[in-house]
Amino acid sequence: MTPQMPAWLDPSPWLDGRASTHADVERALGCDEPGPRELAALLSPAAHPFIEIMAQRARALTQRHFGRTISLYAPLYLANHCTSGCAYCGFASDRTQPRRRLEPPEAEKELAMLKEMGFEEVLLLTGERTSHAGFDYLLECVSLAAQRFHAVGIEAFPMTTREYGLLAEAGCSGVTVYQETYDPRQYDRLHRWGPKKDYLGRLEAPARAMEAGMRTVGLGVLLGLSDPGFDAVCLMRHAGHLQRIHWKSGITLSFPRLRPQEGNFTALFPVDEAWLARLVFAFRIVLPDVPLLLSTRERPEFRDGMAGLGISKMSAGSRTTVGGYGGAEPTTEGQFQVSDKRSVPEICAMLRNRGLEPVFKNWDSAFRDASVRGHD
Amino acid sequence: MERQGKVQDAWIVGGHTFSSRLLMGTGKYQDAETMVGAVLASGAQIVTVALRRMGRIPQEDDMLGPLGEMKGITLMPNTSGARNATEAIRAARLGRELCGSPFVKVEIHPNPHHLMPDPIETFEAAKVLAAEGFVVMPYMPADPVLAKRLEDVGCASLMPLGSAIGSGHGLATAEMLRLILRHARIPVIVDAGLRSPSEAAAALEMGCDAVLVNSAVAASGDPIAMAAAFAQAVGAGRVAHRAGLMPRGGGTALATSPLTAFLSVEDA
Amino acid sequence: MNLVVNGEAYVAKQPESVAALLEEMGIGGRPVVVVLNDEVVPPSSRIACRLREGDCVELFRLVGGG
Repeated sequence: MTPQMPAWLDPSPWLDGRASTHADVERALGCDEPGPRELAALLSPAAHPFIEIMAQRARALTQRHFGRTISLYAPLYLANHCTSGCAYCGFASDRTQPRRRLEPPEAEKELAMLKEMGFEEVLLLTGERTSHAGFDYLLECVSLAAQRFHAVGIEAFPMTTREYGLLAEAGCSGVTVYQETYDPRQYDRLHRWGPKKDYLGRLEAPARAMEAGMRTVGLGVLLGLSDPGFDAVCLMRHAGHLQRIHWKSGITLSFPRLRPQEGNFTALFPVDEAWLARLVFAFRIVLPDVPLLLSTRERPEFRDGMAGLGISKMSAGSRTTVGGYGGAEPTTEGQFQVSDKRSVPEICAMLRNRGLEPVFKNWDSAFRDASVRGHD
Repeated sequence: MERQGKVQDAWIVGGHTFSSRLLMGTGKYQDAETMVGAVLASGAQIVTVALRRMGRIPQEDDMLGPLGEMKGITLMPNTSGARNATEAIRAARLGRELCGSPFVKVEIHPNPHHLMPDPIETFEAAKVLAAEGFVVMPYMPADPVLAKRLEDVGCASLMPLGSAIGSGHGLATAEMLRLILRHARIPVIVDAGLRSPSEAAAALEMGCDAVLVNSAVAASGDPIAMAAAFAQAVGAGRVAHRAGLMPRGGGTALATSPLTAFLSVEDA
Repeated sequence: MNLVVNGEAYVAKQPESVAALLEEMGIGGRPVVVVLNDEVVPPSSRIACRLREGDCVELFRLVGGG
């Protein structure tokens, strides 16, 4: 049964079927308060010749709102157990790869390594909720991470408001839940079985996290699963909806792009670099003050070029295997292939070369811990 | 000839639908006749009134008599005179008794000189009155965070000031109004400080749902004519907003070393 | 009858009811909120509502305002 898009998400009023024209793109670029219609115009074929202009605008806006800095964080995969059957993911339950989780002492070692590498912000990842790596396990890992890192984010599985509240109290400051695709039919098709099949449950998760007091939620779409223009407009609608209601929390956006990985799922709607770049520029233009992330899925030259052109935050030195920072050979396969394998010092040198300052710490756990201990 | 500028689309506040996006105040007029004439000329459907503790009013000073009988007008008592939430809440309840409508403009200005609204008392009063079923329209500083707090406690609209009451400094708070408009879930009505019809048009062009004017009409050379001018301006501003202003120009020169040279032609 | 009306001493000549007091004061049928000893007296109750020596009456009228 295909789920229904809620009215607040439905982008049809802004996607009227008429192809955008050159004039539409100019209007979009000159609009005081750009909305979904303007985003659609900037992503249309008619906007391709404007890419350099969009890049310049994106750079100016990024400098204005984020300065000449790039935030750096590290992803740490805690476990690759999963019961879901997402057609595109290396962790899908029908993929044969060794499954394991980091036991707390291992997790501590990995966290210590990441701290050595200079990180102050870590993103903890798991697959969908399983008995091997469920809520209690995640809560324990968050507590461990919060003792060392100023910002602890999670990208795991949709939870209840109560669960998010407990994680926030334990020191979690951000929750990332990508809808992957907002097209209900495609979503249903691609999420073949398991808890992730619940479209609406996943869609409402960021709101629950914000209700529970999480400082930031990360939204995103996996480019290649559906019509990217459609997904982009939906993402903007989702962001706007959350900002209107949960005005005390922040949001970030990310646009992971389907790349080759084990199992060889081919993108149904392949997106090339130029389109991804234009997507980033367009979002910077329509949402000037929302952080935009770029992962190590993309090749080094692309990441170099995009840093500061809309992109304000990047992962670096990433491992997408379970653990993997400890130096020992990973025993699992990665969730996706890392294209930019450069070390943290290499990334920092590149950024400085481009007039950008790498920032590891954007916030202080002293603020976080004050409220956790009830000192307000 | 019926000008298209006068046709306005309806807006909804507190569950009530209105076609006019011009709200009128009834203070500062030299006499009842002028005030009533101006209200009629404005086409306003929401008209603010104040509450005073007094007994007999001489016939010639009884401003509100004729207004109460006019069709299509919703009287909205304001709590002006209240210096804190407690006084405002009492005034609102008395106003509801008198006007029979649930609309109330929460207006709390403790300083009688600059008449700036108290954000904290306004929030407290709004919270209580919204819970009692009033259609709460808070007069407020143009603050985007306060706007969300007032939305959260159940206000029916937001009434951020353009500039200080009677100052005639127009949309001094334009930048803040834009921030409020960006994420507002309820109608935004600019109230106070407007001087000219063009400023009212600008407010509507910006995306505000309506404006409230008082001094700009009452203190003008010809209030009845000025009221009509404001009505036309509000209508024009609204149509312009819906039509979409032409794009801002400039700033699109191409650099000699393109920023996008790094993009590969084929996917890696 | 000695009353306090709008914060000031007032000697009522027709104190049989609130309605009569309003009539005496020349307010008659004009819109007014009547608060008697901190309780609102709605229009429907004004004829029946009796006054007593020392009662505090507050009358509120609509006036022009922004």
